[in-house]
Amino acid sequence: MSLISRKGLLQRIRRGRKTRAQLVASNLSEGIAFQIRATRDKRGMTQAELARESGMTQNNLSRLESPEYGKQTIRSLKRIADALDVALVVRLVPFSQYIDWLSSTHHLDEGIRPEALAVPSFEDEEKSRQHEVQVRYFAVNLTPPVTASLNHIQVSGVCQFVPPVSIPAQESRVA
Amino acid sequence: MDKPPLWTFRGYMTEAGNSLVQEWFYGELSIDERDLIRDRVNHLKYLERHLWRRPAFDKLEDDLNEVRIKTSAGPIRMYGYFPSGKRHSFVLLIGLYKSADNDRKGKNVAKERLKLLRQGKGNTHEFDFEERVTSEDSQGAQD
Repeated sequence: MSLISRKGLLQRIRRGRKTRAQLVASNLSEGIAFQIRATRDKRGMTQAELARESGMTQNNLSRLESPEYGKQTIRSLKRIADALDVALVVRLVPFSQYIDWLSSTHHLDEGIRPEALAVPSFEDEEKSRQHEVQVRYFAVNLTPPVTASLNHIQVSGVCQFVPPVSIPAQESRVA
Repeated sequence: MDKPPLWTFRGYMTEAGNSLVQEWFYGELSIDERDLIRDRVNHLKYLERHLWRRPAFDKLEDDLNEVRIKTSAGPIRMYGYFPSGKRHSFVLLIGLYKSADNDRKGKNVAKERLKLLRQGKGNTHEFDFEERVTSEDSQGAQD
């Protein structure tokens, strides 16, 4: 269950460019602030400790942990990532992928490839209707007992529908 | 399968069945303000309770808590509580534009509603954060 559905996000990004920019800005601040706080907390570090490790003041770190602070710099985020010993990803993504991420919808990320470098705009995606391509597929969950012999394999399994997932048009497939 | 969120959000409902916070959400707030609230709860819903802290959230007196949202029109507060019997549920008691540093009036309404709920005089409902589709939306209005 998602409080914020993909459908709702799709309606939202279709309200216009300003709305899309606000969505990105708001979720960048919210996401990074809560992520820094949760990661720091998991490491058992105080704000003062992480600030010291990152070479910044506690005030600066406190601002970065505020979801309403909108002036993060890549430089300061790199320092925090380094202090927490985690990677930092900064990249442009198409809105189809972005709303999948916000709505916790599975999305196949194929890594660095030409399409990931030259990112389609919202308008490009709307023209190709990539936001709306949905594929139903089967998932087969195997459950014990699984017995095997030289000639055959017997499998007790459950076959079920899983919710539709969105896959950009050129990547559509049925598994 | 997607991992379900840790938290569900519920809204206060009177004995007569009026969903007062839900009505406020759709009736009083602008669409941009609703978006800000959606973005906030979309992140809060995956956070452990001990990470619900200032400035996004604050613990107040008498079991009350507040979700704090900053908007261009001023601060919005959504007062609520964690019901003791239900794990990972947060009940919104009242939402308002904060007009005073110490919002006694809003907190008192929240406390009164909490008291009514505890007396069994009222109910809660699953809070709906989704935007309701209007004819303008379906025509693909642009900013």
